[in-house]
Amino acid sequence: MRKVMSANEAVANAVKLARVGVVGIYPITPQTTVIEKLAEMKAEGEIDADIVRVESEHAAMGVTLGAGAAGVRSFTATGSQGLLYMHEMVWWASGSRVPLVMMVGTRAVGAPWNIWNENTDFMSERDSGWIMAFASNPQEAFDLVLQGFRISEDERVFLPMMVGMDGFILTHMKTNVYLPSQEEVDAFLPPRRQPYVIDPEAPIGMGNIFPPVEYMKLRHSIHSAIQSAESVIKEIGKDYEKISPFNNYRTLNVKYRMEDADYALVLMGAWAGDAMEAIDELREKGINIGMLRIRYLRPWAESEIKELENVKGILVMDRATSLGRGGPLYLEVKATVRNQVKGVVTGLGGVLLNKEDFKRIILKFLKEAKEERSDGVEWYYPAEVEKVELRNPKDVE
Amino acid sequence: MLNDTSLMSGTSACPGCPENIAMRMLSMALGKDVALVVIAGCSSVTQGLAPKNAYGYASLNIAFAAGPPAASGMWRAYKRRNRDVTVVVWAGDGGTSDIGFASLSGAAERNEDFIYLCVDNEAYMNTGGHRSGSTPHGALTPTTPEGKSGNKKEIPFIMIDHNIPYVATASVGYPHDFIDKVREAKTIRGFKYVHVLTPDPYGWLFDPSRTAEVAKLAVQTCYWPLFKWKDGRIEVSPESLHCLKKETRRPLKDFLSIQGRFKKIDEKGIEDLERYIDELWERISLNLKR
Amino acid sequence: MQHEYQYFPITVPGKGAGGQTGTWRFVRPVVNLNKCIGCRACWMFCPEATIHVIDGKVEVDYDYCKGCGICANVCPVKAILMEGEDQ
Repeated sequence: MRKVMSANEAVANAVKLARVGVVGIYPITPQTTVIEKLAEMKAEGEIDADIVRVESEHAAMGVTLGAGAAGVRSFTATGSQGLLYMHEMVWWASGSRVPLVMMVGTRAVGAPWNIWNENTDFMSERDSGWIMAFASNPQEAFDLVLQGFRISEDERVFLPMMVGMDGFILTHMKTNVYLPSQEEVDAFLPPRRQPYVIDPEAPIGMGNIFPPVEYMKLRHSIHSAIQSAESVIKEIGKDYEKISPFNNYRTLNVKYRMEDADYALVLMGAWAGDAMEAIDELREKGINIGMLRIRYLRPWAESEIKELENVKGILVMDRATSLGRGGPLYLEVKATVRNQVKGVVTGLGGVLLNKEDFKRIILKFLKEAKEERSDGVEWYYPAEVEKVELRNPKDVE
Repeated sequence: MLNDTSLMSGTSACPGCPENIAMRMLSMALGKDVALVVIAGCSSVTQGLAPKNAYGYASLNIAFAAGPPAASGMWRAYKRRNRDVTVVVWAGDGGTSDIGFASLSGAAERNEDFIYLCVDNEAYMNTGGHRSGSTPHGALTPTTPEGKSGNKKEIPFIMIDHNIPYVATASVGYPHDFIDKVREAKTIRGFKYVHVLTPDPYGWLFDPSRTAEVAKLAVQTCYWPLFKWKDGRIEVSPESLHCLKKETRRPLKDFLSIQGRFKKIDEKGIEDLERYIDELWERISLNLKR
Repeated sequence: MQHEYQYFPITVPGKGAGGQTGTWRFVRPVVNLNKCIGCRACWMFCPEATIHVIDGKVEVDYDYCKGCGICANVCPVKAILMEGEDQ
């Protein structure tokens, strides 16, 4: 079935089709319409999941983890301050090795308040032991959440998975979304599997003290499971073709016009669309640039990224910062390839870029690359920002 | 014979640990088919080291504020899987009255179907006995070396104000009262709050052989009331009925003098504590089941 | 299918999770079986589950008993005495 819907609505539909049993919900813009849709589905009798309306995001993950540990498929969604407030439990979930899925609608974090899009919240969980995917359009939001349950519950993985999506730009963007039937999803997604169940039938304990070497081994195990997830994701992506017309899940990340590219742009998320338009126009002028869209931050598909070593220059655009150091994606790419890498930090706090901005950024990068000085990080403000001046209140008339 | 399989010998707890006593009484009350959620606290440590666990129950250890939410997810999961399991959150007074209070309040407001058991040793004993919201006025702790100023937070009353189906207080000094209350809690659907006083030899500074004795003195001197709240009324346990009249209360000094933590309290401090106890019992009297 | 890198933070109930805790003890409870009336008060309050009542009489598991002395304190007939470990 094809239907016009927002990414948030697509996520709710994936949760429904995955037959999720327990959902912990706490609203935060721009994730709210996911949980509103799920609550509505429950009220209409379309799903029979327990919707637990908790008092905080910390609790939302507590409910989701508790239900998962006790043997039921579970889901939650958050973003921004909510994800930061949940941070302790994000780690507890991966440390517990309980499979579950979380959607993250990205948004800038305070102070000060800002409700617009930025990916720093999502990126700040990159060390927490989760499988981390990032969608670029509503269809992908649906596909990744649905595949997420199978990836998370695969015995080679057994880790929670979060699926990020740009706040508003994607969460609220409506396009046609293809939904497989319930029968097809049931065939694709087997009944829940997990490493253990907390149940009096076999009274095990989870999480009492592990001495130093054993603790380190547990962390090592998560590290290995994330790396092993790369082939699992490809295998599941291929199998997904049985229930979906989309066949681009055989790799973790997505290439665009890279076959003959001399230069590469690397980024993740919804602005890939604007970037592709800019690339098309530059190509008409004879500039051989392509794009690698990062769809999985964890696992980090090293071999896919390493292919970038064949180009003359790499430009990484981050909608996030590791303050004082550049963008997280830039740092990841730089640590993977031997080439010179230029980083651009932009789009923070909802700053919007259009096709012309992408062209300006790329052209400046090409000039620097030819002079072999395309290194370091630039903070880019869109063309209409005439003068960048950092001001304090006393300077404001 | 009562079931006491919830605790296996050779725990990491200090000798004379009152929480271990309470843990054994938990299975005397509930038997098998229990899943525990253990939040951060002494109990996180006293379970001992992997690959073993001193608790005989299926248990999920979790961060401070996540106990009630995890239990909310778990009882629903068991219900969905048609498993008849009693879910118990095992939490200290810090996890209950301070860092975990919002999530406790949230789960109570939603009337989630599990038992929340607060084992109250009146300080953050796991970190070294630092003051908590549940530490009484005048008590010395490493963070209140001059004696805490201000009374114990009255969590049982705060839980009563949530209008949940069942609230009870207990003391490890009176096992049968405690066990009966936990058993009664199991028969009730919805949120059950049980608050058990667990005097800690190392934080309260008394000889570990006197744990049960101090737990009894707290009740006899009316410092700690034994009651249950059900159907909108308080019912005082027989062990505490003498407290309803000031004249029949055992002198508070009998409870204070046995502990080192009150060694700096002066006459004014004792009067303050006595006034607190008077007010506590006035409040109970106003809500009595007649 | 087993995957050798998969290791989960789970534990099993067992005695001695905190070690052979009997070595912590410097006084030991000694039960006078002639006095013991089998009332189980010591069993009820033992924080270490090291008191066993067998055929109405008390036995102590010295492998794990930490010697806290609660049993001697709660015994209504003073059938348990705490004695120094060096005696």
